[in-house]
Amino acid sequence: MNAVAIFADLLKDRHTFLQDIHEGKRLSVKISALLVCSFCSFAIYGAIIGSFHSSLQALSSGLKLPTLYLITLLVCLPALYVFNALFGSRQTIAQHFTYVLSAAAVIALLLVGFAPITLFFVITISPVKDYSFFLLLNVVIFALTGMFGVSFLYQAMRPVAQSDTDTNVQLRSTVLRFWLGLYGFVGSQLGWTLRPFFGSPGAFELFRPREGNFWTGVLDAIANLMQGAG
Amino acid sequence: MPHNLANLQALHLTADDIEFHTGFTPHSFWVGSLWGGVYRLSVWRQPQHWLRILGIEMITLALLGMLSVPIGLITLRDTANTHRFLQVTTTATGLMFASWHVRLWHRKRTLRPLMRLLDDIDQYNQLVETVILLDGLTQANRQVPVPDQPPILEALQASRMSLVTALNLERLIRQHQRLFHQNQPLWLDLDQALITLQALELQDQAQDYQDVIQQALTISLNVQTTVRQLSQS
Repeated sequence: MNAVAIFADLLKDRHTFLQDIHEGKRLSVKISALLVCSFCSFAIYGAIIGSFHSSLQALSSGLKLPTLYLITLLVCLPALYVFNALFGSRQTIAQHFTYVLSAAAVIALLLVGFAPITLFFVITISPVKDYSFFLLLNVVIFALTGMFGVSFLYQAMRPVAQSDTDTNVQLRSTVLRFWLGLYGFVGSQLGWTLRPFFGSPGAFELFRPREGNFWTGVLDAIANLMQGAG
Repeated sequence: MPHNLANLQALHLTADDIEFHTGFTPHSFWVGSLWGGVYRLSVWRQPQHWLRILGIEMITLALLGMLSVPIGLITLRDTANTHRFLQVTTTATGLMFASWHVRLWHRKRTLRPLMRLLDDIDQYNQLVETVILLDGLTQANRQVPVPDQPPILEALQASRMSLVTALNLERLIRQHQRLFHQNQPLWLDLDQALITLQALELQDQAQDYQDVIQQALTISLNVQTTVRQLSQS
């Protein structure tokens, strides 16, 4: 099972790789390879950001980061498939899964590309004083890699008319855009549930107590900011 | 007349050829995808692959651990009891890992004939390599008498045909048990390959090439045995 070779195909010959998915060629092998490689890449990056706090946090984040990306994908996949099928797509769920997994693999690969930079900062900054800086740095990295991944998926899955009578192309494009938003929405909640990933200064904790959801957390943070300013 | 290297190279049975005939992507230690595949039978006899086996086991365990996280998260809904979370995820991972191994064992039983054929294909590809090497040596040393070589090509082609036919038969038996006995042309191909090789073996050849024909015949006989056993099971 040469997962790395298949992963390399995605990088070097993306057009053929996507064409193969479109034609349904070797999907099970591709799925296995993408799953294994993206899991390992996310685990490496997760371990690096966790090592900013402690080795226990490194182990924990090394498992949490792949879980965040890949479980979100699994949770959102049926919605994408059902809506596309409803509006005329003839692609199977395995093809849908391979497409979205390819996008996750692109994000994973970009994160591994950023790994030496993150590691450099882990080594050179203070875990207590520079916690906010490290957090911000990673927010930028995650946002950047996420944007590239989303753009890749949008390009790869952009619907094309499957017959002369296929009038649902525009509708499927809207479904895809809606799904990308949904992926971000579910991902943010799962990320909120699985936190901490970085480990704030203090003792190691596997999970933080549940306090509302991601969006109430954002609203609380904004409210605190306004109160501070007022 | 020396062999055309391109002709000899074309005799190889590549991973793409095997995938085309069987529907499985073969590797040196594994066949198929992570979920639907299985370890090659020969892998247990080759210590150089044991580290890879360990790698596959660890990655599968980690992936299943990841899949069991949502189950564990149920325990965290009301309290932050991480001990309970770890208990639940470990148990779920263990159960899924055991199920994966049961599936692996079942696939190993189903795909045993294919595994034997893949070992024969490895042997056959090594034989083609040997002929390419001998061909190169013969061409480099002009003083060595060049043996009559077309029979070697014929032997390899016959061996290749028997392997390809056996792969097709194995797939047919695996997928359509009932249709198998109706497919006589494939059986005839298999018998024809063996007759060709037996005829070639009787001809007078240079010693090196005689060994090649002998090995090609052995491979085809193994293939015949595997397919006969498969049809009787």
